[in-house]
Amino acid sequence: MQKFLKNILHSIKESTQMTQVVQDKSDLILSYPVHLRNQRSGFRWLLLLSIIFNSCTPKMFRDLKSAENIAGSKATELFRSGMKESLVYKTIVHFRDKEFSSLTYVNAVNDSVFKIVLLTTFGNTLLEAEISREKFIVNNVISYLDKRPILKLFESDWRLLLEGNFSNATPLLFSESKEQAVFDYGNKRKHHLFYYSTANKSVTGIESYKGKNKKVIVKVDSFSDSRPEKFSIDHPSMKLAFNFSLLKKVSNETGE
Amino acid sequence: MSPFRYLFIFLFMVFPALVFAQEGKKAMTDTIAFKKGLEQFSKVTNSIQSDFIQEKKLKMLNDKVTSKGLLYFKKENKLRWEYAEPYSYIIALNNGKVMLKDEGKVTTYDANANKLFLELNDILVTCINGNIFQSKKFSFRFFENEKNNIAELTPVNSAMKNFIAKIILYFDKTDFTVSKVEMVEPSQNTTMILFRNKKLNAEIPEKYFTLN
Repeated sequence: MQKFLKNILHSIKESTQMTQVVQDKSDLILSYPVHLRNQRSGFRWLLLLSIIFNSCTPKMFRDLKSAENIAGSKATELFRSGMKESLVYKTIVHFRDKEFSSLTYVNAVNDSVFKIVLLTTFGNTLLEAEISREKFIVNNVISYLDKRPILKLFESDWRLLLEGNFSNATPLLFSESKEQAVFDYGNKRKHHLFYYSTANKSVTGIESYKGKNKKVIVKVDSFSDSRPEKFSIDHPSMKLAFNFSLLKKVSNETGE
Repeated sequence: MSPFRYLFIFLFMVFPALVFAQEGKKAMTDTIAFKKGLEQFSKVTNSIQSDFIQEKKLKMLNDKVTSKGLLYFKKENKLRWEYAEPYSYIIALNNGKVMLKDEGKVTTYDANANKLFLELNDILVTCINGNIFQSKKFSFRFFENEKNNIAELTPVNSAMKNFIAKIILYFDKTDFTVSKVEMVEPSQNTTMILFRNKKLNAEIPEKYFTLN
């Protein structure tokens, strides 16, 4: 398992470094104007302008209207408020051609604070964390998971899933049809699309964009009794995916 | 050597950590007699089959989750944990190979390819050649109560301490079998495994230790 996690860590770092390289290049190009003024190169100006435009909000996310009157404020909540029990998910981590089975506990302390615990199938604790709008607190983590990139990925994935719960802002309406409405949270280059089924009255998927690139894809395959029963988080660029299947609900009062 | 020693070694590898129910226990009066009794039990026991109930208590969530299943052990080093609840999952250990079966998929690990399994092998060899209670990987304390002889194992190695704070084994005074295992993690999360309906020396088919 440690080797499995090492490979994941390497892949996360690789993915982060690639983004860094691109950012560095754009920084270099953005520093061109001083030289370009002297060179009076129209071509380079055009190149610069196209880069500037590309670094702003992609066209598909521009000029969206507020979704205030389209759906209730709960439409983008994957885990509905007022959750009285802990949810236990069987969690399979897929990385390239390998997979690892584990368990995930999700517990709502209140409507905007969640506790998440990751366990091995045999029951030993891997990670205990608390996430809210402002904070991400790791209360306990096993040494080989205690790496900044892994914890950051864990946080960003859960922040994405819980954005509908955490966000105070009204989402924008990306698109609307009889069957579904698509809501957009984000600004400039980062956007999160929430697909809401009007028939099932639940979130069916989430897509996280950086620019025009889809970075994270969440699919909700089954939603019942106000809880997601089966969902997955896919990081295509890292060949990393997490599949969650609800095993049971544990009452917070009785412990069963 | 007691087969249940293999069992708790395996347990310590996969269920790091435990805390102790301190109530009603006192220091064991005759540890030599206990160890001898255990050795004698080991000599006459070739297989063990038992139901088990596993309870995981999470301090942070104030919750517990129960798993149930069957355990099979066969001399010298064959072990099968078959979880039935909350979902079907099997782990089998057979001659240096560790096999997992999850949703019909079988994964086999070579024990030599994984540090964790190497450690497990090392302890198994220690068990075959010597006495686990003389292992330098743990410090031992012995207690007893009305029904049980109790062995409390504390890891000495700092890497192991990262996973396990303590393992407590409850041996039934009447037949030397393990009736309960408690594991305490450094976070104070605990796992308790209760063994019920134990059958000694029952015929266990070889195929139980080969997953396909």
